[in-house]
Amino acid sequence: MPQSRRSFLKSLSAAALAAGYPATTRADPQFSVDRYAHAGDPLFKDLAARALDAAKAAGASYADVRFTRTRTEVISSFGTGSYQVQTDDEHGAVGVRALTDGAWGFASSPLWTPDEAARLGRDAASQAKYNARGHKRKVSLGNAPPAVTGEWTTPIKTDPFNISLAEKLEVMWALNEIAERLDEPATIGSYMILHHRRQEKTFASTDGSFITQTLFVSHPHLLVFAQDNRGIGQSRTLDAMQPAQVGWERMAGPSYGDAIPDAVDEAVRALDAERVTPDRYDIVLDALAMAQLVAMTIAVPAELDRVLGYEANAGGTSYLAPPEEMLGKFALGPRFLNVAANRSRAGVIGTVKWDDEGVVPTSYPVIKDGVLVSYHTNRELAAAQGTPSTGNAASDNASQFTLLQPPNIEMLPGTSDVSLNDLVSQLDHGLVILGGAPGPGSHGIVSVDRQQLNGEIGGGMVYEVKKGKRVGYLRNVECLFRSPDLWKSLKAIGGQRSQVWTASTIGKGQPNQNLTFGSAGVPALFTKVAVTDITRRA
Amino acid sequence: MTERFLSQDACRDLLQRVIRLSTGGGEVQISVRSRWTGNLRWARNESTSSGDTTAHNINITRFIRGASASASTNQIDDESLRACIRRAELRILYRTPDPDAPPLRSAETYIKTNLWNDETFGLDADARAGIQQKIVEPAVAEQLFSFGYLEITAVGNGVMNSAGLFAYLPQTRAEFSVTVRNPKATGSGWAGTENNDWRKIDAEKVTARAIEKCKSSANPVAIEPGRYTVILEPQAVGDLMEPLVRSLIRPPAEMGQGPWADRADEIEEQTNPMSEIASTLSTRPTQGGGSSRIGKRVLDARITISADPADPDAPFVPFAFDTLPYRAVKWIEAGVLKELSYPRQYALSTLNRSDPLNNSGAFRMTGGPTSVDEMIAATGRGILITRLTNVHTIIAESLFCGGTTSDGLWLIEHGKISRPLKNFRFRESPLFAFNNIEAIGAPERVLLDMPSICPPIKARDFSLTSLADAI
Repeated sequence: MPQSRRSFLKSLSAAALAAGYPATTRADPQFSVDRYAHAGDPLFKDLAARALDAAKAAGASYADVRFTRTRTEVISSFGTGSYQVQTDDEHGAVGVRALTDGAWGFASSPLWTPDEAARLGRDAASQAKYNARGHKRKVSLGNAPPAVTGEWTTPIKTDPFNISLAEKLEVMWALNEIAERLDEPATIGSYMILHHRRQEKTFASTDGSFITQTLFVSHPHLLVFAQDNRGIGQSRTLDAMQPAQVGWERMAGPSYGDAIPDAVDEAVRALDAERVTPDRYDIVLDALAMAQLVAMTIAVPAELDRVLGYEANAGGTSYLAPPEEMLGKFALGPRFLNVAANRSRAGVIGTVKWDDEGVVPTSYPVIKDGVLVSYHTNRELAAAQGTPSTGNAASDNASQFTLLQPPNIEMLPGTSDVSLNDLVSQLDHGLVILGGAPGPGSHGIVSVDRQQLNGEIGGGMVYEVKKGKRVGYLRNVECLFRSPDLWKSLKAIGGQRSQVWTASTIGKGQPNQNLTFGSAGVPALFTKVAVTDITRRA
Repeated sequence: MTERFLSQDACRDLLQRVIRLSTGGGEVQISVRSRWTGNLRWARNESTSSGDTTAHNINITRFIRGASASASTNQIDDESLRACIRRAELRILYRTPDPDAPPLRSAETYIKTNLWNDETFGLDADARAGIQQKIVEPAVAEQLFSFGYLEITAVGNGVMNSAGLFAYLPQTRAEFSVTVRNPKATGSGWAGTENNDWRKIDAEKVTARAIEKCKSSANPVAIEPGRYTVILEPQAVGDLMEPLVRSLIRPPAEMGQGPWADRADEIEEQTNPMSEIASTLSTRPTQGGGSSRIGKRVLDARITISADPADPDAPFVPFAFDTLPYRAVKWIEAGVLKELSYPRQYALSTLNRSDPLNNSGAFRMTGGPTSVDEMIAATGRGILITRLTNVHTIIAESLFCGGTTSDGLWLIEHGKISRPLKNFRFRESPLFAFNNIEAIGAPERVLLDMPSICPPIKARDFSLTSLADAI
C-alpha cells in the first residue's frame, strides 16, 4: 500500500535524504589546476605591474588589469539513476583595459605570463589610440576611488567543489525520488539541476588598487511535472531553491524534500486548469513574480548606458529616458512604491565588496516614494553626470570588456504586515500568479521588449479567485503590460515577512555577456491588467 | 603568445598531447575551438570599446567501457589538460555503460570547403577603427546617431580522437551591424549581416539601409492589432525560420513529440513542459511508437530549405565538435519534409545506417522572382517588417512563436508605403506563415547564429496581436 505523502515525507529527515543510495562523504580529488597565483601571491603583483606598466609606456592615461579563474559545474538529472553533465569547465583569463587620448582599448588572453601581460597592456593602449582618432567626447573617469589593497570572499561554509560527485548525485536523486514516489493520479516526473560556480578575480589599476575577491554561486533548481492520460502537462518549481551566494551547506541545511509534495500536489491540481478567458483582471503577483518584474522593468531600464542609448545595437535602450525629463521627476508608481539598490546584501547573487573598477558599491534608492531618483553607473557614466560611481562595473570574466550591470534590486516592503493571502482575500474576481524559481541563466516568467517598455508575464502557475477564495487553476495565461501603466495600477503590497530574494540574468554588450544580479519582491496587487490566452492568434 | 589563434600544427600538437595524457585505457575524443576576435563597438557616432581577444575552448570526452563524459578548459598546458581529463574520467564513474555504444571512428569523410580569407584576417585595430570612423560619417551628416558593431574573428577548429581521426579547418568571419536613431529617439533603423569574407559585406550599403529606416520610421502611429498581409524582409524571415530549423530532429518526432510528429488528431494548443524536457533527454522517452511527417507537405511548395558546408554563399565548418560530419542536406524540398536530423546511435539502431545526419543550424532558403518593391506595389493594405526580436517558441508542438517587431515597421496602402507604425507583438508559427505565401524575392545573407540565407516573403494573415510601442 502506498505511503501517504505526509508519512513518506516524515520518514525522510534531512540526514536520510540519501536513503537507498550508498552514502559517500569522501571529497573527490580536486582535478583543477593550482599553478596560478591565489590572493596575496606576489606573482599576481608582478603580472599586474607588467600589464599596467606596458599600457602606460604605450601612452595610456589609465589602465586596469583583471585576472579571473572560474570553475563551473552544471549537472542535471531527470528522475534517478542517471545524470547529465551540462558543464564542467575551468577557465582562466587576463584582460587589460586602457584609456588613451580619451578612448578605450581592451585586450585579453587565457595565458598568464609576464610577456603576455605586457603584450596585452601594449595592445590595449595601442587600440585606444586608433579609436581616439576624431573623438569629440573624451572619456573621463572622474575622481579615482581610494586606492585599496584588499581581499574578500563570499562567506560560505563548504566549497561545493570540495563535495564529491557521488554526494551531489545522492541529493539530486533523492529529491527526484521523493517526487516520483508520491501516490498521485498522474504521471509524475522530477528534473533537477545543480549549478555551482566559483570565481577568483583579481583587479589592479594604475590608480593603485590591488584587490582579490572569490565569489561563490549556488543555483539548485528543481522542476516537478505532472502529466495526465490526455497528454496534458503542468510543472511547478521548488520555490525554496533560489540562486544565491552560498556554499554546499545549503543542501545539507533545510530539507528541500519537505516542500516537494506541495509542489507536486499543485502541479497535479493544475492539470484541471481551465483555459483563461481574455479580459482585464485584477491580479496578485507573488513575491517571486514581483522580484522578476522589478528586475526587468526597473533594475534593467535604470542602467544609465541603456538610458543614453549605448546599448541600442545590442541589449536595447530604456523607457526611463531621457534623464533630464525623468530623474527626480518621473512618477512611475504610487508613493508606497520604493525600490533600492545595493551590491552588499549577504548571500545575494550580485554582492561584491568592490566592483570591476575597484569601486565600493553604494546602496541607493532607485524609486523613492514612487519617483525615479537614481540610475546605475560605473566610473565613466558617473563622471559624465558629475556624480560618484554607484559601483556597478562588471563582466562575466576577464576575457571580456567591463560593462555596466544592474545591482541587487530590492522592492521595499510595505509598512503593514500584509501577506500574499491578505492580498488574495482582497480580490473580488481576479487572478493570482506564482512566479516560481527561475532556472539557471533565465529571467523567469517576465519578458520585456528592447526598451523594457512593454512586456509579458507568462508561464507561472495561475489560479482564479472569486470573492477572495481560490476557485481553480487557469492555463495559457499571459498578462500584457506597458511598464509605466502597470506600475501606476499598483494598489497594495506585502509586508516585510513576505519579501523573497531571487536572481535574474540579462544579456547585453557586444560580444554578448550574460550578467546576473539579485532581485527581491513582495507580493502585490495590480488592477485591470490585460490578460490574454498565450496560444491565441490575433 | 605569438599566434593569434592555434595553427594546424599547434592544434595537432595540443590534441596529440591530450591523447598521450589520457592514460589508463579507454578512448578519448577532443575538440578545440581556438579563436581570435578583433572587435569595435560604437555608440552616438564614437567608439565606446574595442577588443583584441584570444580564447580557446578545449572539450575532452573520455570513453571507458561504453560510458562517456566530458569536461572542458581554456588552458593548453599539460597540467591543465591532465586535470580536465581527470574531471571527465571522474564523471564516467557514475555513468551507465552502454554496451551498444558505437566505437570511435578512425576517419570521417568531411566535405571540402573554404572558410578562410586573408584580407578579413588582416583587418587590424587601425583598419577597424578606420572603417568605423568612415561608417558614422553619413549618420553625422544627417544629424543622426549611429550605434554599431564590427567583429572580425579567426578560428582554428580542430578535432581528434584516439582511434586516429584528425581534422582542422581555419575560418574567418566578419559581423557588421548598425542601428541608427534620431536624437529625439522617435525613429530607429537596423541593418546587419555577416560573412566569412569581409569584402563581401557592403558596409556602406548596410549603413545606408539603417539610416533610411531610421528616417522613414520616425514618429510612428498606432493601428489596430490583427491579421495582416505582411512583407517580411529577409532578416525577419530568418528570425522566424530559425526556431523551425533548430527543431528538425527525428527521434522526438517518432516518439510523437514536437512539430514533426505525424499525428492523427489535431493537438490542443497548450504548452506541455514535461514533453519539452523529455524530448531533450534521449534516456527518458515518455512515449513510443509513431512516425514523423517525412514525405509530407509542411510548407508552401515554393520553399526549399537546405544546408551545405560547401555552399559558396554560406559555408560552414563541415564537422561538429563531436567529430561527426555535416552533410549537404535538403531538409524541406518544394514544401515537402525530406529529412530530419538524427544521431549515430539512432542511425545504427533504428535506420540500420552507419552515418548520423547532423543539423548545424545553418540553412539556405530558395528565393523567388519578386522584389520587395514589387511586393509593396502589389499590396492593397499590408505591413512591411524589418526584423523580429525576442523570438521564442511558445508551443513546441506547432512551433507557435512569440516576439516583437523591431527597428522599422510601415503600413502599406494602395501599393505604397504610407506611414511608419508602432511596433507589435506577434504570435505566429512559421508553419502557418510560410504556408500562406503570396510572393518570394531574392535570398540574401542574414545575421543569425549560423550562416543563413533567406528571401523576403509576402504572407497573408500574419498575426500581430497587440501593440508593443518601443522604439
